[in-house]
Amino acid sequence: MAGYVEEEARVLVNIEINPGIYHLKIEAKEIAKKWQPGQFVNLLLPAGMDGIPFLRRPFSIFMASKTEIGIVYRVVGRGTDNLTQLVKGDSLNCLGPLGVPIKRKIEPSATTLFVAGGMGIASIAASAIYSGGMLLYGARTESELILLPEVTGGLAERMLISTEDGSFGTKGLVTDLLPAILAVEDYTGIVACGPRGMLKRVKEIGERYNRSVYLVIEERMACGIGTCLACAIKAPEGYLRVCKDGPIFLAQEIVL
Amino acid sequence: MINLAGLELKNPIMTASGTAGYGRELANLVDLDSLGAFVVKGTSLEPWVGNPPIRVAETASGMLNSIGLQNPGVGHFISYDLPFLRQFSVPVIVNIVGRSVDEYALLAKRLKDMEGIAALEVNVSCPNVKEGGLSFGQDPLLVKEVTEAVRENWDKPLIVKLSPNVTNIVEIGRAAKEGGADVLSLINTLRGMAIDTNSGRPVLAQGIGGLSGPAIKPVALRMVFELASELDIPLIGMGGIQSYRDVLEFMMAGASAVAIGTAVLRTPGMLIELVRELEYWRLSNGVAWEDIIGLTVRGEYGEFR
Ligand SMILES: Cc1cc2nc3c(=O)[nH]c(=O)nc-3n(C[C@H](O)[C@H](O)[C@H](O)COP(=O)(O)OP(=O)(O)OC[C@H]3O[C@@H](n4cnc5c(N)ncnc54)[C@H](O)[C@@H]3O)c2cc1C
Ligand SMILES: Cc1cc2nc3c(=O)[nH]c(=O)nc-3n(C[C@H](O)[C@H](O)[C@H](O)COP(=O)(O)O)c2cc1C
Ligand code: FES
Repeated sequence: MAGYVEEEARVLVNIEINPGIYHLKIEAKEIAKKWQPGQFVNLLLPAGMDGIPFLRRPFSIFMASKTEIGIVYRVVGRGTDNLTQLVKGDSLNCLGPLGVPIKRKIEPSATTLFVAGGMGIASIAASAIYSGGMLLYGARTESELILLPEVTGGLAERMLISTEDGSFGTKGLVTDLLPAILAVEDYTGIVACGPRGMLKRVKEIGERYNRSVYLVIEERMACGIGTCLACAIKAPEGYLRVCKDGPIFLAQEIVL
Repeated sequence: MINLAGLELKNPIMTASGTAGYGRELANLVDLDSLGAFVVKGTSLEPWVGNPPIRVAETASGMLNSIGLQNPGVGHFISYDLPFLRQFSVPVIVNIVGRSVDEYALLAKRLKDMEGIAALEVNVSCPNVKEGGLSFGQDPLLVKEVTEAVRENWDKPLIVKLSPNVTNIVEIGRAAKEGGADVLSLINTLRGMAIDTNSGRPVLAQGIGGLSGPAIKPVALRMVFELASELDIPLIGMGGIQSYRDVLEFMMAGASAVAIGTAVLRTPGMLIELVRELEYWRLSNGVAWEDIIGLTVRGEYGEFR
């Protein structure tokens, strides 16, 4: 039973934690209860006079307590910009939890290596924390790293950070860290979420070292539940739905 | 009860093809049996792969899509989806699509003896491969030919779904009626496009797509009104419906029932609200649907609350 619901939720917290990056906490009892790491929620955001944003917008749930869910989002367009206007007590229509939980594809364990680029951290942080595995986390610059205790708190010694400009952690791309680690550690599975370019590199490197690579994909969506076929990603034959067949895929299931 | 040429609906609310899939996903959120009818995604003879992404774009009060009629084919529908839908009592309408007249005829033949199908809806907004890609729905002769081909192989109610991308919708509707259609449904999406001004590139990978949502409602309503004024055939109206007031507009313009597409993608639960709100409106005004359907065409204006 795919247990998702349309729920009128209440905003608890919506604060800017880094420039242009917000932490949103909402009370959404049903969704919180059903959520499993890797799943997302499709939000109906406040619209302007022209009705935009018209479609829902998908966001990973990075954590859930008994009654609350947490989201971190980056302002990139009209929808996320309007979302910043919501304050405590406002209502927000949520559809979720959606998508395949990470553990249905791979049981996260101490032999799982997680790789996050930018906002990709939101999809995999919870699994990384529970798993006992290691997280490689990269961003362009320090101010784009989300180091909220709720997000990466449990990871202290199990996390390696890189920034492209060297303002925090190792200088360079997060994927630059991969070969050295894979050469010496026997991580059997890799779970990665981030920009397409990064995912391609993870796939390449992971396959070179013969590890199972799982990629968490972002694609534009409409329904989020699998009916409209908007969120197509190329597969060896035809297309798969990111919202319903994913967002996590074994790298071989899709063509990047 | 609403009777559409023998197709009985317990209320006027149906799903629109392509926005509710084959029902599985929506059934988690909405009791399908509370709907007037369930219309499945466009189904072809063989599986269709669909178009490359990006497949959807937002526009002011609407959206563009170029899904490309991706579907797993009628064989898969019969073995996998139809058994699922048979668990429900809601009338199931199968939307069919083909690339030639023969394909439409073969689809009807395949579905003819299947239990659990209340009606066929023929989507003619599809390029005709043999005629150099012109849409069937833009040529009255082709519309008539496709309708006849399906009619010969299908005894139950036959709906023809019209494309709005024509200059004279009445002419097309008349052709479908002459070909043997029992009911007309309209409108399918309007051709449109959006451009990313940061690159100049069309947003959709296919360049052009189909516009749906509130942006098209006035056009859809006008077309329903024109058909209801000129032809004697039951109509199913759709295009941008978001509220029960929108439904009433379509019914007053001449639609016996309506389909909801894009709005279901945003707020699936609204299907049930519409059913409830419409019934409340009807009862509190003490009217029967027969009195409401087409009242604007007849000029029998009333005073409603
Ligand atoms: C499963 C999933 C989980 C996600 N989780 C998060 C999250 O936890 N935090 C977060 O900040 N964002 C997340 N996103 C991305 C988020 O959905 C988009 O940033 C958001 O929809 C943008 O909306 P907007 O109206 O602000 O921008 P728009 O005006 O819609 O777009 C702004 C720009 O972003 C591009 N864009 C929009 N949507 C996408 C997309 N899905 N993929 C690639 N490019 C896109 C557009 O082309 C445009 O250039 C997730 C996406 C998916 C599919
Ligand atoms: C994502 C999407 C997919 C669609 N797929 C089909 C289809 O397979 N067959 C069809 O006849 N119409 C299809 N349509 C058209 C709708 O059924 C409907 O005619 C149109 O969207 C107008 O109604 P609306 O504004 O309520 O969405 C599709 C529309 C959308 C938005
Ligand atoms: S967003 Fe509709 S199928 Fe994925």
